Amino acid sequence: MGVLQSHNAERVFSPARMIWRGAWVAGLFCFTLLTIGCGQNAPSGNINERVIEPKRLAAFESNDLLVLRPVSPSISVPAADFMSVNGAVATPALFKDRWTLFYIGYTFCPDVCPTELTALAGLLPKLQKSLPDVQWQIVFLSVDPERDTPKRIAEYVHYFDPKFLGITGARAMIDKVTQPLKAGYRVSPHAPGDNIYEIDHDTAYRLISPEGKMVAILPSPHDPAAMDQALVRFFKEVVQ
Amino acid sequence: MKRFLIGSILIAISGMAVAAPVISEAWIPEQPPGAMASAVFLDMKNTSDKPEALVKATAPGFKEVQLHKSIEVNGMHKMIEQKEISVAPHGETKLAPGGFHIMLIGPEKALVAGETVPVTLSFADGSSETVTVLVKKRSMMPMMKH
Repeated sequence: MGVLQSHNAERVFSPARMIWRGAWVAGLFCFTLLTIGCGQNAPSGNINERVIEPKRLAAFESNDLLVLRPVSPSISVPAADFMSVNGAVATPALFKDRWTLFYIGYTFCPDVCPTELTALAGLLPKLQKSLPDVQWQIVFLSVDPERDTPKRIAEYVHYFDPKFLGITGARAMIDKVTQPLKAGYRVSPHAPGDNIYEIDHDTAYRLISPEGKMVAILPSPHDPAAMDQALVRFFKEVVQ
Repeated sequence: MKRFLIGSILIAISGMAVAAPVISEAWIPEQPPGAMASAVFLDMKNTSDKPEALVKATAPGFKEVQLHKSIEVNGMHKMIEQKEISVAPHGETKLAPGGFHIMLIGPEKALVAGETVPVTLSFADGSSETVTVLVKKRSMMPMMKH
């Protein structure tokens, strides 16, 4: 009945309705002009496409450098090819239209990686609540492609949160990305075929912007509540 | 003479007292499916006047069991295999996430929360103890500070 009523009302001439419609069309026109005029360098309306202004990033002072360190100037993630369980993944396209927390590790890791991934699983719902407009992505890059297949990595990270993305790739591709991001790792010397070896690795979470730039580092130990607060402030002062 | 006798008995008792640490709070975090490594965490309390040390751990159903310590240097996590994990006289050593742990490598099957693993601990004084360790899910607690 309600549908029918509004349908009928549509056909009734109303000056107010015409004005509203005109305003709406004009608004749409302005928005289109604005979008075209924006180009790549001015901030767009969508926070998940936002380009960080170097000045705002440089001006940001962290309340606690042990929780969040801004990276200014930001560091671009180079183009590289990886694999996930769902197929090929390439940087920097991987970072487009979202904000990423990036972590390196390996699934053979019995202690620290599960601890860090548990902390990320605790942080994610907090961020979704405190920064609801932000599309979050958690990426785990295994630096152990000899033992970690994309399937194993997926099983591993999905245990902590089914939304986490696990990737790995050729050693050259891993190094191409980890070196400029200063995400160090070292594979312990081991005999060929020896399947038991450790990997020393950086434990920080790296905040990557939608345009594929590292803009902040969150070092361990990771306290979800403290990180949540620090990221809210970072978004308020640098991004929003 | 009587006093001497009592004294010697006391000395004999204290000398005989086994210095093996008292084990508590033992647990194994449930690991993701397919994980090749896990860890045993526990507290060791030394009630004696002598230093003690865990020198070896074994557990059925694993390819290898090693003693390890996670450390963090300049934001870099390292695991270092330990010959032993010592406990000072009247002291306590905690095996906890981000620090010492007994590393369980190559499980025959995935460990699920609620299961138990008999872990045999051997100490420097030659004694050993088998502890039944419960597999539990990790909580979302922040990691131990370094």
